[in-house]
Amino acid sequence: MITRIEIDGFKSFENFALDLPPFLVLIGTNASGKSNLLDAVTFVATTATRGVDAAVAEVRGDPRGLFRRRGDGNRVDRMRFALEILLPGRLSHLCRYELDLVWAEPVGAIEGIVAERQRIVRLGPESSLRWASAVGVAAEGLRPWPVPLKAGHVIDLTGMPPVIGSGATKPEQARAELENLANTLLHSPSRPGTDVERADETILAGVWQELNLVRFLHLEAGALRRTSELGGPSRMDATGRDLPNYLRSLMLRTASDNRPLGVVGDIKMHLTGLVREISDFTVDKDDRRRDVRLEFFSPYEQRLDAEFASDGTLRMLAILASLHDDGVVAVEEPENGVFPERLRQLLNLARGLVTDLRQSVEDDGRDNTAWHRQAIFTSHSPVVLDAVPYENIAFLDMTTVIEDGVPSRVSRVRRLREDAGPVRVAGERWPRVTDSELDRFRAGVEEPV
Amino acid sequence: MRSLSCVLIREGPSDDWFLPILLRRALEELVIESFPACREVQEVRSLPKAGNQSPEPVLAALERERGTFDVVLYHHDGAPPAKSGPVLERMRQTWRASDFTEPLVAVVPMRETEAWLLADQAALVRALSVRKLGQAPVSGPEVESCPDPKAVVETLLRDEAGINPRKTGVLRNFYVSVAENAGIGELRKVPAFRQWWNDMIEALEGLGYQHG
Ligand SMILES: Nc1ncnc2c1ncn2[C@@H]1O[C@H](COP(=O)(O)OP(=O)(O)OP(=O)(O)O)[C@@H](O)[C@H]1O
Ligand SMILES: [Mg+2]
Repeated sequence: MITRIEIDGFKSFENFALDLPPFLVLIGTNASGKSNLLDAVTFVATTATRGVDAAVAEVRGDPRGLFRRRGDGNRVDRMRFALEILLPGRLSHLCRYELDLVWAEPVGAIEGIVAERQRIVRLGPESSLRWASAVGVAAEGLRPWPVPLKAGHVIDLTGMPPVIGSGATKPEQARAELENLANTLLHSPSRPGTDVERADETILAGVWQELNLVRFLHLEAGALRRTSELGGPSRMDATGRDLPNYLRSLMLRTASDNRPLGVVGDIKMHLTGLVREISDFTVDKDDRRRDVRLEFFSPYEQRLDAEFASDGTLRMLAILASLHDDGVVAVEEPENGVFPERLRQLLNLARGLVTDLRQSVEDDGRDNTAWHRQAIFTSHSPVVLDAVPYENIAFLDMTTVIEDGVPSRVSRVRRLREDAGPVRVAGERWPRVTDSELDRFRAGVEEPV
Repeated sequence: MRSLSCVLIREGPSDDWFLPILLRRALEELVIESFPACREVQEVRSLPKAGNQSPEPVLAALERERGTFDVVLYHHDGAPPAKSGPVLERMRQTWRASDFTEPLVAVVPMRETEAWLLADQAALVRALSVRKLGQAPVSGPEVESCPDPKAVVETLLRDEAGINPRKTGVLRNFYVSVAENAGIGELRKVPAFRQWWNDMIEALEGLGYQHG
């Protein structure tokens, strides 16, 4: 689970920081930086796990364009990111992954983005307490780290382009190795080596896996309708492509004797509840066509191919599937093509599906060593204000910062003021959003015009 | 790090199309010029629910924003002076008597706010997307003596750009475009605007913005 993100120099962000609860909806005006924030999370995660080139290829924008442009037209030359991460096992120590990227124009070589610094810092127990109180989560469910290690301990990764460059040569190979390492280390920490080395490896593997699990959804109906190729990617991409394969892989990963569909059974139930025209669906592997396809069943028509299912049905299924998987999922505008009442139900459902640290380990019902689940949505829908508690909402808009006499528009983020709650809260750079602004959002207007 | 946050009590809904944007842009220049230690100018937030004429709803609306702003901008058109003078004075007195400590700065365009829309001809040319204005209206400091700035704006739209100002959304979007484009330097030649500018400097000095 990502507990905090800090961004400076990427797109519209200047000294930006936000504490993230397990479930968060980003609301705000158009062009306020909501999508930029999701871009930043996926950009760091992809850089760390698959390298800068892969990250640039997947993000909106070209390499130089990612650096913040100031009001005078000049671009900054440095992007700084920090992600604080709560690893599985409910350990109370957060790990802080820091990445500094600079724009380099070396003589005799091609210009581009270079990783200048990369490291993981193990934070002390006070970090998770601070986070817990900032986002309104009780920290009782957290346990101390088993290995006695100094807080502030640094694992320096500078010089190894992405995290995975830890000695391995091929990225795919390194990826598989680390995934293995992450699983074995975190779930059965009984390998030889000194405690410190082992803890370092565990943290490294854990951070890598957490970042590897980050998924971003900006769904497109055309992509959702497509069949998957047999043997194709098992992960759905941002547009929703390969949803059939993704559902199959979720099924295979979570199946048990008594529940052969695994979590796909849960997904079915929720889809039927949310989308009344659908009573069931199947994921069919066709060996002759060498593809995997979705087939829906409705109470009246017998069968419905994915090509003929409604946009809203497919979008809902993709979002539900992603919410039933481990790690962080970021969803762009889930309200698209969805009725307000369904959106309300989806928001409630999402809130219940993410990791609940308020519950004791026993009541949580999930494996204690499982990866946390976290969801971040962006939205313009006024329904959010009624369906989601204020502590799970962040409001983005623009402000003007002045640097050396140059004004620049940058994104700022504020929490919402609770009923009769405080306006100023320690650690928050701006006062909270008051009702006058929320009334406007409710009415669907950006400015008071 | 010092940051500036202002709320705006404005006279009518159409002032929201223009004043919050224009005043925020003006404050950026003002802060750069006179308060280099201030690092941020936040959006000017209009409070439509405050009404404008009677002090009670104004105070009630500001009460709901307590702690979120540094300065209150109180807008009231200056025409006719016999009417606007007492309104302003009443608001100032109410404010002094209240337990708010934030300064209240009056924004009083001569006659109508629309006069300020006309001050910068280059901005009008850009907002209308014309090469040049066929019949240049009043501009610069003379806008204050223009008897009916609203009518001038409508004529500009109709005669210069062939846009019907009566269609929904036209005036609003024209006002917003001018607010985003108007040169603050041109506006500072207009006495009423300069008055606000100077009052603002005084208010910020009172708040210690020169020290960062
Ligand atoms: N490199 C950059 N430097 C400065 N600003 C940038 C940069 N790249 C993008 N932006 C700003 O970010 C804004 C877009 O932000 P973003 O796409 O996150 O908006 P959004 O909140 O998702 O809006 P919408 O609700 O319309 O989707 C642009 O208006 C642009 O000003
Ligand atoms: Mg967006």
